[in-house]
Amino acid sequence: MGKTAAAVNFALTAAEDGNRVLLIDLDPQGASSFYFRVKPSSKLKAKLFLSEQEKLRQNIRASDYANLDILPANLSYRNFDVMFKQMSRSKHQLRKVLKSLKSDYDLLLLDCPPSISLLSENVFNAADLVLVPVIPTTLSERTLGQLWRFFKDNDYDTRKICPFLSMVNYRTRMHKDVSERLHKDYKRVLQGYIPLSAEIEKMGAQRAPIFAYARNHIAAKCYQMMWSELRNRIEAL
Amino acid sequence: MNLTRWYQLDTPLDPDAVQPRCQALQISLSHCADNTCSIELYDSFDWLLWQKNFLLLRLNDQVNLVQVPKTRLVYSEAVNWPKGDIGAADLPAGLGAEIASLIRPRVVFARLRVDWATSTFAVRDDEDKLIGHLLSHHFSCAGNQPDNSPLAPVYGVEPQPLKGYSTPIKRLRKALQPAKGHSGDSVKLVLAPWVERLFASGYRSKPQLQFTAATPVQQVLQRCISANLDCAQANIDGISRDRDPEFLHDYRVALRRTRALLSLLKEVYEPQFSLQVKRQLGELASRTNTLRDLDVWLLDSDSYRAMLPQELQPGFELLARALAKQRQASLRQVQKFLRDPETLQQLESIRRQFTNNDPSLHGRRAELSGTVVAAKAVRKHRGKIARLCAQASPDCADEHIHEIRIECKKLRYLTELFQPIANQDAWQALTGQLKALQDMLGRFNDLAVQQQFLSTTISALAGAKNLDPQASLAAGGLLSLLHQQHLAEKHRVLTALKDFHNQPNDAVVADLFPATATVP
Ligand SMILES: Nc1ncnc2c1ncn2[C@@H]1O[C@H](COP(=O)(O)OP(=O)(O)O)[C@@H](O)[C@H]1O
Ligand SMILES: [Mg+2]
Repeated sequence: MGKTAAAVNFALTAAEDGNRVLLIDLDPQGASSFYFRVKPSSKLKAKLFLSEQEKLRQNIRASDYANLDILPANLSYRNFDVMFKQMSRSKHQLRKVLKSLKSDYDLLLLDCPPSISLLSENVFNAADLVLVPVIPTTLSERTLGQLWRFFKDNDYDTRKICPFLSMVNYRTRMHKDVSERLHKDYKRVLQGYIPLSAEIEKMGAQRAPIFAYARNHIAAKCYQMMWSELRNRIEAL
Repeated sequence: MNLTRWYQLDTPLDPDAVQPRCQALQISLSHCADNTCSIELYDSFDWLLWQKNFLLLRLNDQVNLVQVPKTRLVYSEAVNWPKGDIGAADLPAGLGAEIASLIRPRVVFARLRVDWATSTFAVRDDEDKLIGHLLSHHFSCAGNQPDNSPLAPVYGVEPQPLKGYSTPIKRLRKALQPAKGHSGDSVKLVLAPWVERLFASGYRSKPQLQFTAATPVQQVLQRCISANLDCAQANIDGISRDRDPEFLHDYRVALRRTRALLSLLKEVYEPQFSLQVKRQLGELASRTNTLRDLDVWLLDSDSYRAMLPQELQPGFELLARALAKQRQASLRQVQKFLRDPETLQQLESIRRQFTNNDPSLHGRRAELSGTVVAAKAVRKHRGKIARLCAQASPDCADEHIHEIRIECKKLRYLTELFQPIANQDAWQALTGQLKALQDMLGRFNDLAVQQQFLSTTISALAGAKNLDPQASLAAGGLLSLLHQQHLAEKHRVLTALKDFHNQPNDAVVADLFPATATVP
């Protein structure tokens, strides 16, 4: 769907924009860590005296870019997991933990795994905005609908949801239709969109954000423009 | 001023040579930048700041005052720093105040120029992830260094890990640095050791000699006088350029010390030769008397100004201006004298006579051991001072106290010369006592000299109709203040003199040179 691609590129754009950014890789697959070549740190020396928060902090790694740090996958996930269990399945634990990072960073970006789990609910509580990439397909549209429902049913603030169009190919009729419908149904859909692009796909081979190798490509510009839009939303919070 | 910690290497970092060690750690180095800058170190000609454990550094347009040995940045300011000598008055205000709190404000100038080259390497792990930088530092002494310069280049590496990568970067650093290599900042590893070496090998107002109790006294004296004459010569340039009153001061002390030692250690050199040398050196010194008096006046003039009431201030300024003018004239005379090839020739030929060490100039007592002569001379001379002290009374003439002061100075030169073979505790005790006494006598004498100086100057100026009545008024006011202080000081001086002569002379000398105590 493009969550990780977006997280990685937004993180770098925001950092280049002067924000101190921490990208937290919550996906056990570790895709965003992979793009920044940060190893999902092998053996974590268990320092018992450290608090969970301290352990997280110790695992933060600088990226190759100024202002941008990464909390790599696996590790963070494992720790979060342990933490949630300890906290008797609290849905607010993540928010508490992240609060401790508030003074070090201007922006925390969470790259989430798929599926709505206990972790996701922690994310919904912790996040100020929930960015949802939507591929203009009926299936993807339905997933957004489910998420919306879930927010309504569980009393989360639906204004947090920020859908945006991802992997858009305007040459197909369906993409065009879904996009139009989406903008009609949800008024908080971001105006910009991320095109379906071979340049974005190359991130896997390059192991780097798109800005590292195709800064001037239209796809890179799309991430930058969308970041400006997001920045306005964040400032309006 | 970047005072980060780095690690010293024996040789410059060679990326090719360290390749295998990096590979073993699954690390790669790639060169990314080169930088150079130069540091200038400022101090007075006799390293006063260094002796107080301070370094005054300029890096580009930033001046930094750094305290050692625990490098501490005391003061830093971006300034438009003039080239060349910098008088106390020209220092930026904040820095000037800092320096004035450490040493008497005076001239500082560049004593050392250091070129600092830094190459930056990117350090990447096996995933080609940037994990930090490695800076390779290379410090060298700028300018033409003689082959035997004590300042060999210094190399080192500075690891700069990115967040979360301190462990692998530390491993890399350990692989590069030899076991037990030094680490620290640039001040600790380069600048302070270099200044220390320059200080140790360079100019000293008090030459430090090494010798043993058995060394013949002629050898001791010969080395001491040579060093003092070197010192006098070393100051001539500074006097001519009017860099700092201390040049003249040191020049005069070196000549005075030489003459005093020749008088006190009789017949170490042939008497006729000694006499001639003393006369010549006396001439070389006395030609600077007036300039020195005016220097002393200038150095004290701020405190004089502060002593006078408001009404007399305008007059004081006139007086100060007249004296400043006089100093210029006097300086020109001294400059002319010291630049005269004949003067330089004379000093040089005296110096050569001592360095050549012609045995026909040696006196009867040349071969005696240092201790024997030293003990005898100290006993005799200290005895003389004690007798003079005993004769001092509230109604004795100032000249009498003045004489004690001169003799104390000589005794100090004598004991300083023989410090290496003296009992150190006794030496410290005697030196401490002498120093305290000399300070007091010095103050007393300054007051007398300044009164004398003021009244003769005023009469001369008035005689030449060069003096504004207001200035005379200020001078008069100043004179009476000085006179009162003089009287008060005399009382304290007399008490101190009494303490001095109450100590048994033989015991003091026996403590100082225990080995000679049994020698009759
Ligand atoms: N806009 C895009 N155009 C082309 N390929 C994309 C685009 N966004 C993502 N991809 C590719 O699709 C795959 C999944 O994307 P990813 O961002 O990892 O999705 P998610 O994190 O939502 O699972 C990746 O191989 C990525 O390179
Ligand atoms: Mg993903």
